[in-house]
Amino acid sequence: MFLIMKRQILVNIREKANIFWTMFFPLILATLFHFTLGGLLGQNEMGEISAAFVLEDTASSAVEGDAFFEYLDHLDQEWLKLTPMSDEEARAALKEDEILGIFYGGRERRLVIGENSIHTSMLSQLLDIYEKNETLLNRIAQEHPEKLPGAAAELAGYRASTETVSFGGRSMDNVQNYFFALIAMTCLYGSFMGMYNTVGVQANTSALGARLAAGCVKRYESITASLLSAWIISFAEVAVLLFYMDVVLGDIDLAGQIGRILVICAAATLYSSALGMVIGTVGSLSEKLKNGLVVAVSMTCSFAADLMISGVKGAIEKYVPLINRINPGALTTDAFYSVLVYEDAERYFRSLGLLAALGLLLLGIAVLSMRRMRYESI
Amino acid sequence: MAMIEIRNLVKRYKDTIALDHLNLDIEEGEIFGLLGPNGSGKTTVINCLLALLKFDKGSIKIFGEEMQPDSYEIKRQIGIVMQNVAVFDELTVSENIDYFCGLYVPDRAKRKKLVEEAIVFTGLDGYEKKRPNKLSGGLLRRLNIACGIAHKPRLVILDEPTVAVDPQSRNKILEGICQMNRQGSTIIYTSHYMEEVEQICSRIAILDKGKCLAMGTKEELKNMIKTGEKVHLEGIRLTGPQLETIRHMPKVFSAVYEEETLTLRFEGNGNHLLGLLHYMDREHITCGRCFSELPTLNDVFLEITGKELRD
Repeated sequence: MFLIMKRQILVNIREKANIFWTMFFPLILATLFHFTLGGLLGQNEMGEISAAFVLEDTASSAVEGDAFFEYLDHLDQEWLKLTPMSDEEARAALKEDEILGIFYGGRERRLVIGENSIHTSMLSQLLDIYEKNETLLNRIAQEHPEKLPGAAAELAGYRASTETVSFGGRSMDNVQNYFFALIAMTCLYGSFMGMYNTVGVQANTSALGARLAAGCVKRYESITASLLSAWIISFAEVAVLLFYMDVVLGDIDLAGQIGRILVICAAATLYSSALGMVIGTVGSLSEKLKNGLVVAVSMTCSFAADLMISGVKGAIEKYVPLINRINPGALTTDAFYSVLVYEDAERYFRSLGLLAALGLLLLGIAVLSMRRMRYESI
Repeated sequence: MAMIEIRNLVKRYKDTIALDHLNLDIEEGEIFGLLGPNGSGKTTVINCLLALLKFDKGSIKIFGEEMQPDSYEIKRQIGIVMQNVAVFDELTVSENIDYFCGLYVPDRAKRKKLVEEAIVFTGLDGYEKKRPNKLSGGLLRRLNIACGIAHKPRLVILDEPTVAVDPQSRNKILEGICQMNRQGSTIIYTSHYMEEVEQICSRIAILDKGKCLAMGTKEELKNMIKTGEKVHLEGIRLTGPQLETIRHMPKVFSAVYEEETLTLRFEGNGNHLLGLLHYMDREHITCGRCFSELPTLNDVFLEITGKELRD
């Protein structure tokens, strides 16, 4: 069996068209994605927002003790980097784009920003909230002074109802989904290998298959060898793509997650190889027809996993979620998302479990179809 | 006991009967020819023999045991050369032979020797590193054979191995088959080329429409038919009485005289041209050209079925 597997791997590797479509084509697409979508990566990332704090019109120049500064400095937010500066220093820093805004404290509070963006809006929101809270507390102090301590405590206690969610992964960028869909598509291309290798061991589909079936190789050995060789090659191709996207292009960051990612790729390529084997056993259709079937199935699954247009998977999830539970493309991108973007172990293990279970189910169907050793016609 | 016993084999493809109660016995050490036109059932017999095809009725025994799809020990002793070339385009000549030999011989050192022998045997030396798509049709056929026989099987089945092969390669292949037989392999050879079958086979079965019409050595087959030698005389001028005399010569089966050409068919074995030439000498009859043909398997097929083998 080892000899059959070794030779089958050699044959698959030397089959130029096969290797082009299953390995080089995804690498080319990854490169194109890098140059087209790569520019969008990071645009929506929530980084640190730098701002200056300038104390005006007070006798003391120490910012400590200023209520507005204390409020900003003690916010339960890690994204605001507040630096006390003089007015001249702050304006120079704003001009040089070292900071995005200047908070002025003291008798009158105000905000100066360089340009309108989502980040400066957030700075503006901070000022608005402070002003509203101050007004509210002043009104309570005037109208119901006895309720002031309670109201102050209530305002200060907002943290208790704010749930902190860990994103776990390294990116919150939706553009990443395209890269995940590309990896899922490459996993799906394992079905080509599964199909080719299956056709090659069936007497009713190829002369080579007839020669093998007429020989003394046990049936289960030839089936196992064709599955393992398809699986090994498609997994290796996905590993090459991951390395290229992570190390060479830098579009995904697998550091620390490589084990979980490889496990999901192994399950996805098993599913795809088994899917290819099932297609390979469909009657005595020609190899070209079966090839067309594999293209149709893999591209449909990739489309439904958001490879071409974003939002398809979401729409399917809304109306026919079952499709997302059986589509290997969607399951793979889900697993990637739950590892690299939004830490969600439950979703990861659900995707992994479904990929493995459905892969084994398809494998069972393929083996049942291939177990025949005598045919009605050849 | 015969090496291969086929009894009452019936194979139907829907309404078409591919094999119709076929009975064959093939003895160890012979080159057994299955001769028949395209569609006569030769390949179907082979596929049934190899347990690749389901059949409707009958039994097949090889080496005294019932042939089943999982009769791996029987299959281990069989070498198969398919009608269609079945090699990997992505592997070189020696890698292909090594792969197929490896299915039967796991020992690497032993296999290496066998592969080298198969390369020399089929005249592929010098092409070891070439891929099949770089080989000519004849060399490709030889590679197909090398892949089937490298493990030195006891029984070799060759299904039309010389289709679309140039004469030089064909001769090489036929010589190789005879050599394999001399080395101890029993051969089953299917073809619709009667000359090849006649040249190498010790016994022949003539198939048509799934039936075995006749079986025996080539001499036995030729004895089965009425007509024997055929003589053509061109540019001959005969009078009526002379033609009648010729028609009544011993063993003359038929005589056709048209446009100064006389075609005579004789019954049974033997050469009758000399006697005819003596008569012509006595009668001072001259002719432009004359030639004689001994009966062929095509004549046998023609007489049995009423049609040419190559129709």
